[in-house]
Amino acid sequence: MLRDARDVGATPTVYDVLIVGGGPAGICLAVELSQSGLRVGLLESGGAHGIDADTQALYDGPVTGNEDDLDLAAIRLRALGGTSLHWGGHCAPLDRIDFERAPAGFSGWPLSYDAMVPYWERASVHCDLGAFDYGLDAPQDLAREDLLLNDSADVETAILRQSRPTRFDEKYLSLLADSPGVDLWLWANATHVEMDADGAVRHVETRTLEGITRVFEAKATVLACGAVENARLLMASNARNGMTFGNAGDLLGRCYMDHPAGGAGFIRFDAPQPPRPYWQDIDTYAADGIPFHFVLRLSDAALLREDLPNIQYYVIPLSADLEVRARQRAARRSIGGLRNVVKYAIGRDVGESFSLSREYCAFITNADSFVHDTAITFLNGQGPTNALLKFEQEQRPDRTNRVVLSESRDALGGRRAGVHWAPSQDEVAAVKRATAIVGAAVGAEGLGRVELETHDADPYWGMTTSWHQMGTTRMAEATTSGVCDPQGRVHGTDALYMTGTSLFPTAGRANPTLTAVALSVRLADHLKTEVPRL
Amino acid sequence: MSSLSRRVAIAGGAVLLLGGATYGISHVGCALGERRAAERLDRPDRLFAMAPRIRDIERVGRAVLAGDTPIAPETLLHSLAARPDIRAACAVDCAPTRIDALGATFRAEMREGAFVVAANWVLAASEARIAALWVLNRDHVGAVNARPA
Repeated sequence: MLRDARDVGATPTVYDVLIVGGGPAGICLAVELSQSGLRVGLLESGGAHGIDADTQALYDGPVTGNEDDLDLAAIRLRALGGTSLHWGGHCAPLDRIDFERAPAGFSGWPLSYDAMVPYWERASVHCDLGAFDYGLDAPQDLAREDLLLNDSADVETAILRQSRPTRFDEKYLSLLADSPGVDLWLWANATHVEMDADGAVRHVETRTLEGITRVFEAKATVLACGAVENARLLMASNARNGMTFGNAGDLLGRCYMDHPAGGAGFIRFDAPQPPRPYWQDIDTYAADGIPFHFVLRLSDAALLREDLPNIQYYVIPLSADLEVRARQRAARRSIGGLRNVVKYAIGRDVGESFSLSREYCAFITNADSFVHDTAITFLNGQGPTNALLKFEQEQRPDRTNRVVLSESRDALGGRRAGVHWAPSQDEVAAVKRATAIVGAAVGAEGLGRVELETHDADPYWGMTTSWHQMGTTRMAEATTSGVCDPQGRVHGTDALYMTGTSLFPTAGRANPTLTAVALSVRLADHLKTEVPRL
Repeated sequence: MSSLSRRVAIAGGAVLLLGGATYGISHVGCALGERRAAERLDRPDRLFAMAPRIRDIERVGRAVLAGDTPIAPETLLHSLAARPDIRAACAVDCAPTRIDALGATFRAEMREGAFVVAANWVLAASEARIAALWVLNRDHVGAVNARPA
């Protein structure tokens, strides 16, 4: 049921589970619980139809430590759907190695890769990703010779699945509104979690921008507001309650992580390259119609040998001739359409999204480009000879990268979050070394040479944020190693939970949304059995 | 019969001794020659056949030479000569064949992890040394007793 917190007469009930935050993690948790028989309240600060400027301004806050114009009011969104409203949709699970090693001085994931697989599978449904299959045999019609660096022991190809991208507000608004077990409260800003000294949550206080306050009671409370706001809300609540829940190891708000990203170097190919699946305009699909992206990554063996953080590279061909690129795209669309029509005609699987008329017309309307491009390629061997290696690197936990309570106050009177975030010199050195290893693999395969970028005058070697916020309430077995336990419960509390990217003890290389949703699915299973006992 | 036999035996022994000595001396001489050949390149200038294929060769060469420790031409030559495949390549008269052989050496080095970063280029170790040698030779004609390949 939809509830409007601006309606003075709207009265909350006592919920079994109260979820604070209507982004991907919070929405998927509510959806998972919607058929459980539990009474669920979902509090969303904003509305259901996009961004409200005044509400979004609540997310403003000071940032220090970098020259990247990192803007806390831009990297996260305060409306139903949360950051999915500006999500690019690239998805992959974490790698096995992310679960099998811990960064120096910190605990690692308290879960195994295999334990996460069933939750990634269910999260894939929420994220519209098709099958949970990230093997190189998943893409249709992919020939091994299409890939780069096939024979390297140090560098391998990994695939990402492309979500639509799912806008979780659009996908689930009707379901939540129609669900008798769920109250979706819009325009309800959580301002405080009132707790007893023994760790029981008394209630969550909310306030609208119009000044209407409420308290919400529940057996279990889940903060699903993202890595910055989860930490801020617990820090602010601890301060007001005079408590230190989750902070036995002085880790609350610390170890904020992003995926530092930037241009690492260029592959200077010895010969013009044929179309490769790494090129962003090359369409490669799974049998179920889900598009793929291809990236290079260092193998687990290389990461372990070199003690490097995880990293992935997009390979972006450089071509000054936009007309040539456009012709090549059209040519590929033509041959792709013909291929799909033929597959349909001979009865092969063409996926649910197949349309005969669309594919046939794609073939016909682009046939001239195909003929033109084929002739020119045959005669001149056109193709890119340069490609940019754009990296996204795992940022290792660092206590100095952190969320703090700033001195400035928001429109609701709360202390704004401040973030200190800086890529370290170790990260600069790591990306240089990793890229050199890629360069060696390129040379070993006889493809050409890699030229590293020349960012040395830049203090952070050209690294920028990927708008991926992780860490700050890391999960760990020991109370001194993390803020939350392996289930997501804040250490020292009875039933205050966190979900989403704030739980990540390490960041891996993968875009975080799939794992954030998977943790919510996992928490839902836990709450279904745990809450009835409370 | 007995004196004949003794003479034959003495002569035979002398022949064997002489032959053995000749073989032994020759063997030692050849071994020394091989060792010397293993320690130097007879035609280092032939490595410069790769020069047009080494990207940014002057910047790379100067970056190698400007490393923490100054590098003498003999050191570069010694390092290059330490690889049998480089020595073998230098012995090849046909330039295209030599280029192919050196290219294979570079690929093998990179596969083995013998690579360096010089002037922001990721190169095989021998490739970088050849670039440095090329710069030395250009700056000081005859520095490596070179002539055009």
